[in-house]
This record gives sequence, structure tokens and C-alpha cells, in this order.
Amino acid sequence: MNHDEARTVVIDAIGVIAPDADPTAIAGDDDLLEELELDSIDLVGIATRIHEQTGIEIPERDYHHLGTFDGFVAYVAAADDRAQP
Amino acid sequence: MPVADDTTTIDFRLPSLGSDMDDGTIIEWTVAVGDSVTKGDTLLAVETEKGDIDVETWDSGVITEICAEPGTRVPVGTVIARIATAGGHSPASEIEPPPDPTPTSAPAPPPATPPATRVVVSASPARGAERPTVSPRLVYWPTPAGPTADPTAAAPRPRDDGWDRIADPMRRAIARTMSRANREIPHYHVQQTIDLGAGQRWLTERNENAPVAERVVMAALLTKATARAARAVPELNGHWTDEGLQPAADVNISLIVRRRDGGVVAPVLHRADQLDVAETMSRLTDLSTRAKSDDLTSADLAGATITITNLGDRGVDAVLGVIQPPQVALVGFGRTDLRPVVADGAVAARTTVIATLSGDHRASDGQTAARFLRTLDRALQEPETL
Repeated sequence: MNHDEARTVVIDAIGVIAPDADPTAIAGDDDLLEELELDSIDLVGIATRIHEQTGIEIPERDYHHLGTFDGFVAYVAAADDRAQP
Repeated sequence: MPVADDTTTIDFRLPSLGSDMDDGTIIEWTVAVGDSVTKGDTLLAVETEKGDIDVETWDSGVITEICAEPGTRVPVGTVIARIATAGGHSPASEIEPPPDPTPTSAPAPPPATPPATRVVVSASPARGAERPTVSPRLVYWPTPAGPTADPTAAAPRPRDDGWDRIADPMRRAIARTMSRANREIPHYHVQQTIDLGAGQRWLTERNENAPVAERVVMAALLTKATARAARAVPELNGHWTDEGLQPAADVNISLIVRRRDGGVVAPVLHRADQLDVAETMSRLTDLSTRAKSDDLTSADLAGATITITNLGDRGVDAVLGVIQPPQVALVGFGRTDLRPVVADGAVAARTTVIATLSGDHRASDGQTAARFLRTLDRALQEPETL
């Protein structure tokens, strides 16, 4: 998945779980959870939505990659590479 | 007012949808006169200071009258519709009762005018005008009670008591409820640092092998453990009434959910002691999502017996909360984090949380709270039993 596609996926998932939050309004390296006031339940919801939409698995041990918007997009964009045998 | 021998007309009253709700504005009716309704159907939407709420009926029958038009602001307890029920109003015991903050032996039927003492009002109805039955769906009229109450505050509060200077209606509602709580409730606070190593290992293992949609977060484990402690320590799970402490039969946890617009809402996780961890997680997710998207119903807000405020995701160490009257306790959780702990004579880094309990000194004391927190701690050391 390229960067733009990954960005769309992340914005979609945040939009579903937190419709009143605007991830594009914050800086790419801001703390995503803090700036958008997401909590741990929201994060599970976002991971679930991304899995449903793309099949990408985000194991709990990788949650630390999701701390910023840029990091989240990069993680999703690289998911195909990780899935290669 | 029987319509026929086997039909009873019951009054459908505007319920209290929060501990300090005085009135609500009818937004719209989703039913009309002549419509058949079934228990659980939404009858109308009401605008309150805490948001727009769908109000449901707990009786089945036919709408015979709608007494309040959209746009009307009506006090809590006002009859807003009438429903003819076939075969009369079913006895409380036959209705699958929604969780109820008040024992069914509760006194005093609601008078027609706003009362000077605490009474119960009901969205579910009473048979006959002079001797209403006390239905399972009871909520409190927001008046102070008990010997410590300020007598001048017992009358319905004027709306210009200073809160109107607060522009945001939700902030105003919070200010009023918390002001009342601080005025009436002699609070005490205790706190305990709880090792979450066992809980975290259990969660990690479980989540590693679970599909993403079935993952459980620490908040669910803490909620489940709180439910167990509330069940074990009834002095902290219930309500303060004119008759003193009334322990509740169920554990219905009011969850403080922060909205991104800055306000909070408090949906209720009903019968939390009877849910397993997976059910707790899915109910938490559901309530949290709907609370944030203004999609709660009256049933979601009724019947709380104890409160949890969890500020862990916001990074604070601990939260010393204010009790929501007429409840008698509130549990606070701070951040789950590595902290230095002395174990076996050496300092070690352990995953811990600081749990606090705010209690009502009219109903309990620090000893009781300590027992609660010990029970909570023990439950979290044995997560597989939750």
C-alpha cells in the first residue's frame, strides 16, 4: 500500500471511531491520542476498523507505532512488506 | 382511569435522566395517538442539558393521548402521554425490571407538584391517580434529602442561582450536580497502589491470540474487578435516601465518558457483576461509542449504583473524584504505568495503577473503603477468575 492509500485508510478509521475528531488538523508528529483525545477503547476500535477494511492486522505489541499520525500511516503503508514471507 | 374492564390507562411521565435534571424540552414524538407500542420502544426525543436523549416506554399498549407538544419545556415528573394497556398494568415483578436505584418498598408516591422532599418519579406509570404503584423504573427527583440537607435548598431551585453565568449547558449541569454533591456529601478519599503485572500478562496473552475485534483493554479488567468489589462491599454500592443507606441489589456502574467537545456523560453498565470480561469489554465499547456520538437512550442513563472515573488514558497519576448523588461511592483510576515498588527488600519497576475510592461518610468510613480496595486488588491479582 502506498503512502496516500495508507493515509486514506487511517483517516477513514479515525473518522468512524471519532467522527468529531479531525486527524488532518493536527501536526503529523503530534501525539495522536492526546491531540484527538482518543482512549484505549478508541484505539481497539480503530485497529478493528482497519482490519475490516484492509485485512491488516495490528497486534497489540505494535500499538507504540501508532502514537503519531505520521507513524500510524507509515505503519499501515509498510504492512504489505511485513506480510511478505 | 380504566377505558374498559381489562384496560388500564397509565400516565407516562418525563423521567429524570440525570441526578440533577430538572426539566427537558420535547424535541419530537416518534409515536402518535392510536399507535401500538411495546416495552422498549422509543416514544420521544428529549433535549436535556446533557444532550438529546431517546425516552423509551416500559409498558406495552396503545397511545391514547400526547400531552406535551414538541418545543415544550416540561419539568421532570410531568405526565407527557397516556398509554392504554390491555389487561391492566403488569405488576412490577412480571416486568423484566430495568436496574433500579430504589427498593420497590420505597415510600411516598410522587405528588402532583414538585415536592419539598425527595420522592421518586417514574417514566413507567402508576395505576390510578390516588395510589400510584411504585414501578421498577424509578429515578430520583433532584432534591436534597436527609438531616444534613440545607432546608432552603429543598424547594425547587431557581434557575438563576449563578449557574446561568456558565454558557455551556453541559458544563452548567456538571457544575450543579457537583456543587450539590459537595454541599451534601461529607466526602472522604482513600487510595491504593495496585500491582497490575498479573493483569497485564493475562491481557497480553489473551489479546495475542484473539482477533482484533475481541481484544480487551485494561479499562475493562479494572471495571470488572470494581464490579466484584462493589458486590462484596454493599455499603459502597447503593444510594443515600431519607431512610439512610439503601444498598442496591444490582451493581450498575456509571462510567464517566469524556467527550471531545469537553463535556462528560455517564452511561450505566448495568449488572456489571454478572458480566464476564469479554462482555464487559463489548458493553464498554458500545456505551463509550454511543456516549460520544449522542446516541444514548434513557435506559442507558438510569439506575447507577456506583461510579468509575478512569483518567488513565489522560496520563494522570490518580483522580480523587466527587460522588454523584444519590450514590455513595466513586472509584477513580489513574494511569497504568511502570513505577518503582519495593519487593523483597529491593526496588523494582512494576506495572501499577493508583486506585482511589471517594466515599460518603454518612454511609461508610475509611475502613469500609479499605476493604473495597483490598477486594479490588485481590481480584486484579487473579484476572483469570474475573
